[in-house]
Amino acid sequence: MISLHQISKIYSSRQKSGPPTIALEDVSFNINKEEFVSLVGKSGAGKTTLLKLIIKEENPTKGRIFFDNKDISKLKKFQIPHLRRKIGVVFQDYKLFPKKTIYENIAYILEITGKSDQEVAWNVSQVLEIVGLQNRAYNFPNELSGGEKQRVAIARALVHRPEVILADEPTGNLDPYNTFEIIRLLIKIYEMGTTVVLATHDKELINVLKKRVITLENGKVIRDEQKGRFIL
Amino acid sequence: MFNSLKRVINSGYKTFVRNIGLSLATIFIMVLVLVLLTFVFLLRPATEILITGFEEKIDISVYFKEYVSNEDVIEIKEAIQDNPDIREVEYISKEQALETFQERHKDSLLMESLEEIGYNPFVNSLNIRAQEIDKYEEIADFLEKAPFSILIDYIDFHERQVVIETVSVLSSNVRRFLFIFIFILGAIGFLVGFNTVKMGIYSLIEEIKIMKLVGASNWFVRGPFLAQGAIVGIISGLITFLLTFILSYTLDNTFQFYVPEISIFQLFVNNFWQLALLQFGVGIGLGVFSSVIAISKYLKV
Repeated sequence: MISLHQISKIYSSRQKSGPPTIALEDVSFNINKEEFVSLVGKSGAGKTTLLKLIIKEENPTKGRIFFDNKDISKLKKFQIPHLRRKIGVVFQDYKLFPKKTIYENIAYILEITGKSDQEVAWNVSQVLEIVGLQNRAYNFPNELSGGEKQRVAIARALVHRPEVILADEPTGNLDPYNTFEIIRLLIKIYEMGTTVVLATHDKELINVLKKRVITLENGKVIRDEQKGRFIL
Repeated sequence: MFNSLKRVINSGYKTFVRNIGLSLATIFIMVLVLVLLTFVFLLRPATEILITGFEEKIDISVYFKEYVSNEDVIEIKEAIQDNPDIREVEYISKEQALETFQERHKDSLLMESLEEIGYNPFVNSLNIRAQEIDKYEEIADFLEKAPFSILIDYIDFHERQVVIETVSVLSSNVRRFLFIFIFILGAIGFLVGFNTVKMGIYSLIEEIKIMKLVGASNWFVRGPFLAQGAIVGIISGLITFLLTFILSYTLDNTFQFYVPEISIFQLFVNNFWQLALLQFGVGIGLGVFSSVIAISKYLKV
């Protein structure tokens, strides 16, 4: 489903004579349909960069990325939104629209994909039920706790039934109870048949999951295990 | 398509309402700009009327020799009327000239001197008004070289030349100044309006980024801002229209006290549709155009 071929990402220094920063170096792996993959590594290992390359927020310096067998480097500008609609992204800082209600935040994705008002209403209420926030539909994000915001972010990532969900440190700002809730949700989504890619540096979480783990260190893949553990 | 248009307008409206502080600030600035533009627009014909009125007061007189008959002068009048530079020729007979003089100086000592002379000392003359103020020299030249010039005693152009030239320079300067003033005001108005809308969009950069990251097409990102710009434009246009209508009505008497030839309310009524077009057109245009320019910077995610 997602295939990375010898991906490198190098950021040139802002100072003329400064050394470039290598975020990713020669990274290759495949993610299959309906798989749960954890990307682990210390902060700065390249996890977030990798996810940014998959949604084409950034372009690799070298190498190619395939999504559903299509080389995303060849996508034209107007095709990028179509790629992003196939992917649900959960950000560590939630990235909710502050001036939209929870309902509107989730409905937005369906609206941009051209769903009818009835479909929007039905899907939003369904997904709110899944994340347990039916009674928060008409609140604004600033009226929610961190855990609730992240559940909204998951609901938004999930509502249009994307093929894959990329979760970038979704529990980074949460307490243990909410962390468990979010992971429980991601597993539920995975069990419903969606591919989930979870980027985290939470050791305990990974060890509990017992799923495939790809470990990154200094921008390189150092380990890729089917039932992996967090070892650094 | 209709569904997506409806959503874009709805989203623009909600953004407008939820950012009401910023929306009101933008409307306030837009109204200021539009009111200024409206009064410049109204001032332009008013100034034109004033300048023209001033220019119309200027003429030159051609005085004929004493022996030239009324019929000859009338004949000359008809001959020179065809000159394209001449707008109007008025014949003043020696009798009319005397009457005017008597009327003007009836209680003056001058009347006694006139009686002393014992005859009408005035001559037949023609008052000539040019199409444009800078044509007087050419007209005077034409009259001096005309076949009937031997009948002319003198033309007072040279006496009036300084006044004519002063008025000519003054009116062309006023026109130039007005043009520059309108241009500067228009440019300031545009820049202020543009920057206000742009600042509004700057405050939403993060939202624009999120929209792009979750897969919104450029149309879906840009659309609500365009709708919001249009809403601001429509409301600003409406407020300006009502405000300038009330202002031109209430200030009309005061204005006419200083410039009796001009009624700004009448100017408003006469230019009703042009003004409506100016206010709504500039309002909506400024709102939408500023949105397009400002947002195109942030669609690169």
